[in-house]
Amino acid sequence: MSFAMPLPQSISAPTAVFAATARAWHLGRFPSLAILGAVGILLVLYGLAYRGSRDSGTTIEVTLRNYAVMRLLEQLQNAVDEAHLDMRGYLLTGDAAYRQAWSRKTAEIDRKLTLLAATLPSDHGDWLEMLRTKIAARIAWSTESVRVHDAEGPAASAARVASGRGEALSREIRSAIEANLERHYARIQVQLASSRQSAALVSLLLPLGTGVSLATLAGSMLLLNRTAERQLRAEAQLRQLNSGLEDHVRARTAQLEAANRELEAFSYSVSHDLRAPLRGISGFVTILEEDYGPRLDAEGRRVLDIIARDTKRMGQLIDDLLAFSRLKRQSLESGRIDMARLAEEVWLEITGQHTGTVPRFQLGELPAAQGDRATLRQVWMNLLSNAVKFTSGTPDPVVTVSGATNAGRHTYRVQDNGVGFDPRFTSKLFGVFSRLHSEDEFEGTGVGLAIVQRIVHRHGGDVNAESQPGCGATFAFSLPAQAGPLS
Amino acid sequence: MNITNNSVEVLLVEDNSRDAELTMRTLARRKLANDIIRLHDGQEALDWLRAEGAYANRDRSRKPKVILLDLKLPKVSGLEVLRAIRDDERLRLLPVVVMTSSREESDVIESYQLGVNGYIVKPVDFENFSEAVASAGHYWLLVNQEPR
Repeated sequence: MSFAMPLPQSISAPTAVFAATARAWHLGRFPSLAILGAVGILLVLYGLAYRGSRDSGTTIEVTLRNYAVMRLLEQLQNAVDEAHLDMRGYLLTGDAAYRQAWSRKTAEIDRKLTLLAATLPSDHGDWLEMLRTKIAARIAWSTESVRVHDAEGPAASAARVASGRGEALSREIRSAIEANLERHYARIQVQLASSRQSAALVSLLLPLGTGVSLATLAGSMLLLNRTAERQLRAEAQLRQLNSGLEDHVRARTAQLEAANRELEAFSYSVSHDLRAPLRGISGFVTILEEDYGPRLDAEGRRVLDIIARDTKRMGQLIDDLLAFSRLKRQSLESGRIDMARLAEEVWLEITGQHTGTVPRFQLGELPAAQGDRATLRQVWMNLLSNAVKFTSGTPDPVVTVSGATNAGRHTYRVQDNGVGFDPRFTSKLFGVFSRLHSEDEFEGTGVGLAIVQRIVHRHGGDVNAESQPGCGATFAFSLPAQAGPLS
Repeated sequence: MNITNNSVEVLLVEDNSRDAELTMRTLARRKLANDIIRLHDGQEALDWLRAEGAYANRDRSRKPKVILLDLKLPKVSGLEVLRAIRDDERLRLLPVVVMTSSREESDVIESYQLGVNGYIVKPVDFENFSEAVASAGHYWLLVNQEPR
């Protein structure tokens, strides 16, 4: 997931985490954004619901609190009114009962004021002071009226009443209490209004949010479904391709095998057809030599000799080429082979026929190999006869054969102290008909090492060679220790 | 090369004239055989052996000591000739040695299955070739006892 514009630090880190998680869960861009959206909406809805329930609590609390205060104020008002009536009653009738009632009422007023002081919010403090003052003044006026009544008789107190001062005070008290009642009522209203707003918002957003959330989830399900379908289709295609591929491979293999067989048949018949005339040439040259040799001079005999030798060489080339191509069609058998004994056998066979100096032979311990005896014999034959051939000019020729096992492979080394070869041409060494020495220096067709390489490769092994001119050469081949499939 | 009417030592069935000449020269020089009849193809061989066709009037009492048989022959192949020889009561016991350039395992096996007495692969160079002819000739003409 990538965003076109750089994000501020606080957003980019969580985004990175989210992106990493989405990748790990193999979610595409749209499904993960959709899921993110759905989760976001759900969180918002949760927030709304939480706020809504909190608002309800607040509303109830505010309402009850203010209602309690309002009730208290009303009770106070009642007490003040009743005290007023009681006072009136006393002043009119002089009945002591009224006076006692009035005393009780003033006490109650006092209690109510104390309660109010405890219940009112702190910002009403000034108002309460003002009320207390007014109530105190009113009570003082009434107290004075009682004293005047008791001292000067009802007429005097009536005059006080008529002055209206007491009335005026009572009215001030009433309007003060009413004003405060209003404030509290208004407070409740405000709270209710806010609560109603909240509820309206929730009742709008809740279905909307749920709807969007569901839609988003449905959308992501669709996307995931489509992804899954795409994947299933891809898998089906892959299976189809695979089976098609196998058929293709089979057909190709059959083609190649047929081509191979044709090639082998061709090379076989070619070599046969080439051999017959060679026999004729060499035979009749011999006849010339035998029957007419005495009549020829030295030059004539030399010319015949050249012809005979070249014919022989051509025969060798054909034989080597045929042997090389036959390697491909021969099936190899796999068995356990005592390599040391095989090497010794081959050495004895080579040196038995060898006319020159026989090199010293140092045979070390060789690990037993798993492979085809006939062809591995050929490998030893070629390597050892090479060693003998290329040490033919060395004063004290030595051929050393050693072996080792390493990391599941057996390695065999043939080292000689002969003429060696130029290491720059190592890569040409194993090519067919590729030689690093001229025919004059050493005879050979240049197929021997190619045959060695072919056989070793068919066993799943490797060949390599090291040398410095004049310092001998080391040829090594390795075979897998475990019998693998022989190609 | 002498072909006398009294005895036949070698019946050479070879279509390649050079190979035939070299074979006969070797046998003569080593003094292994004087009487060699050379035939050119499978049909001629059968005609001679059965005294039919061009050879209807030959003396049937003359039997070769050994038949040197090439496999790659025109008209009738060497293997077919061999089969015919072994199927014929009068010819069944004649020693037959295949001399061919084919080293094919299938040819060798089939030849022996048809009852050949020997199988020689013609060496490429003349030296070895004449050695092979000489030693085969020595064995089959001097050492071996043929049925009469």
